[in-house]
Amino acid sequence: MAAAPKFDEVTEISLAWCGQAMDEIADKIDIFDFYDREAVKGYVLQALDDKIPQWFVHYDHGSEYVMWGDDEKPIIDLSNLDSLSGMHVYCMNCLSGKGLGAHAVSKGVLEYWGYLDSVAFTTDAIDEFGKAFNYGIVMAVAEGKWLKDVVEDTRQYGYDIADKLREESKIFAAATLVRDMNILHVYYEGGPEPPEPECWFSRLAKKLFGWNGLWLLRMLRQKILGPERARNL
Amino acid sequence: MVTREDELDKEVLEVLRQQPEKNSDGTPWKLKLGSRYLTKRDILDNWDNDNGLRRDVRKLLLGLKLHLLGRR
Repeated sequence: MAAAPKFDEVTEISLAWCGQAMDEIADKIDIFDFYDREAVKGYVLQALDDKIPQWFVHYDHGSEYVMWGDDEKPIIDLSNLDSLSGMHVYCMNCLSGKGLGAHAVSKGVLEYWGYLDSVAFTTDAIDEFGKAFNYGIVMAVAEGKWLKDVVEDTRQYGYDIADKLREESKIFAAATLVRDMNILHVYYEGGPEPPEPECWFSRLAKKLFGWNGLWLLRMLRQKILGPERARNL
Repeated sequence: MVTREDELDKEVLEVLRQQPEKNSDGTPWKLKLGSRYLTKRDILDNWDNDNGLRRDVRKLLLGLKLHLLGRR
């Protein structure tokens, strides 16, 4: 299942990347997308219930604890992260790898592919960025592998593209792609522990109550204060 | 006194000056960085007054330098 909302210039680009990735794997897996309707929370959660997909893909704006939808409201946040339980989750969005990703495995997600900071790109190498961002999902589905088994190949593939961009004097494109590959991360059961929270209170809460306790506190904060408004990609 | 940051800023500005303002298809070149989506002109116009922008762009190019050292 692929959700790639579009509501600005940047998401027009990420929607196109998602479409290219889905085209590449369409002969290997049944794809359900939201191209003929809005990718918003209600539709997506209903579709997750109906289809019970193996893979959930999100290309669009993200923030630490939110995958955003067409209505610029959360599709997935801390409160419904467990609706992705049992799935391979592939995110080409900003920051959700840092927040949602850290809690994903404890909520039953098989593995969570995401970026630990804001995703960046330049418009002089849109196709090259798309290839690098899509490589993981395309390779994993094509070769019947888990995302964790293709992440280092993907990073290497991105670095190789960056080297070519540098040779073409596209220095900002090369630097940006290297940065994106550096912040790519996959969480999975038995994998490395998520990084320690930066905030001392979160570190203390994690020490006292574990990841699920920290999830509860963060979810309550989100319920009270609302999801953070800063969206990146 | 010239600091390492000043030196790096000079280098970044030089790279930025060499960056074409338009892509090969004629559309404006843009850098998506954090929640910003900036043209070359946006970066140059805000360079002196935007510490965050300078820090982020500096980090980008520093990251490429480190990457190249690692690839040797």
